[in-house]
Amino acid sequence: MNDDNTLTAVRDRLGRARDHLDDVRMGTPASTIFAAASKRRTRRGVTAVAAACVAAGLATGLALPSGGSVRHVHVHLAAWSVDTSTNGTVTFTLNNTSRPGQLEHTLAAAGVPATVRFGQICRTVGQHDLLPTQGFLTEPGVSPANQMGSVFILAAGHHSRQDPGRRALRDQRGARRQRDRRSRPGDVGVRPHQRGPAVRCVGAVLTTSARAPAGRR
Amino acid sequence: VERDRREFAEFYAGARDDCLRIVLISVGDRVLAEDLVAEAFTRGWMAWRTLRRHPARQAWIVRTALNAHVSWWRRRRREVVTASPGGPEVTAPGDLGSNEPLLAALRRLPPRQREVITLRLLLDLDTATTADLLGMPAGTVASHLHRGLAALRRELPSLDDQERIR
Repeated sequence: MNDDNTLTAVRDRLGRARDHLDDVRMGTPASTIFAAASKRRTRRGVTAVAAACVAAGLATGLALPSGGSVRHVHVHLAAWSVDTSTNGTVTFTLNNTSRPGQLEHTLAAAGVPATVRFGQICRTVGQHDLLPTQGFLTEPGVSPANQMGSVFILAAGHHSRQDPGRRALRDQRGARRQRDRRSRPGDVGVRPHQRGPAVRCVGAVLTTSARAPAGRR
Repeated sequence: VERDRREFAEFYAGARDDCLRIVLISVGDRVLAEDLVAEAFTRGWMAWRTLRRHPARQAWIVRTALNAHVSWWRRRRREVVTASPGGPEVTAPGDLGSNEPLLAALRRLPPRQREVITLRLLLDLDTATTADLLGMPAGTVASHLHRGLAALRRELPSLDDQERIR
């Protein structure tokens, strides 16, 4: 038996089986169909509104640079690198002082709005001194052990009011403190805070010969 | 909106019994078939702006019901069997004459083959319309049809024997 014959035979038999079901009728009235569809539309509407609210909340959280929601940033240049991790830590590694503008932008994207100045040290709020090209930088008012610093990262907020010319300082929630300083010179960990108690300048080691003061570890 | 409601109600009244019979042949459970067809018509009403212009609305309903059957089967597969009674029971489809072995073989086919056989033979759709409805190339429809018929062919000799005995 080929396909055509089989097709005819099966069609004939299925038709007969269908004829045997003449007394089978749909008992569901149309009103039940309309009601079910209406109920489903309402449910979908509620779900859509809830999803929109969640999405809006997430978008707001992402738009705010402070808090726990920051984007994943992994930028590696010859001069420096910035990496975010899932626990909220931002790891900044500095090899040489170049492209400060891009560093600012990258740090802001990682949730650490900061001003990057190479060749300066933060003496106190709003006061920055020029330094030699290498060394270690500390918080405001703290004298570095080795004043050969050439970079610091200035957290946002407080300083922006002191120095209106500073860029990228929109974070009103406070500072990100330097944390998790690694033993290897040139590595600085920065963990974002919900609301920092004070805005600080934090520093970074530039050369392998420089060491952080013992009190700051 | 009122005109849409009226049009859909007319379509429902004209197609529901036929759709139920076709789905019943395919799934073999009367209550389940009615649930599936009601679900398909509900989706049809929700998509009525598209469905009203569809060239094969009845086939759309049948195909949606058969897809819902696959979803139902997947959900049921994940359910935990308990000792207490009350689970879904298969209700007899009714008198299907001497064709029960053939229909049982039809229900054992893979879902795609069963859909193709149902649309091509029970709804008399041509290959192109079936392919369009199922979203597959015409060659794939022909392939599914060939394989499905090959499986059903094995049941036909026994049916012929039964009829000769009668």
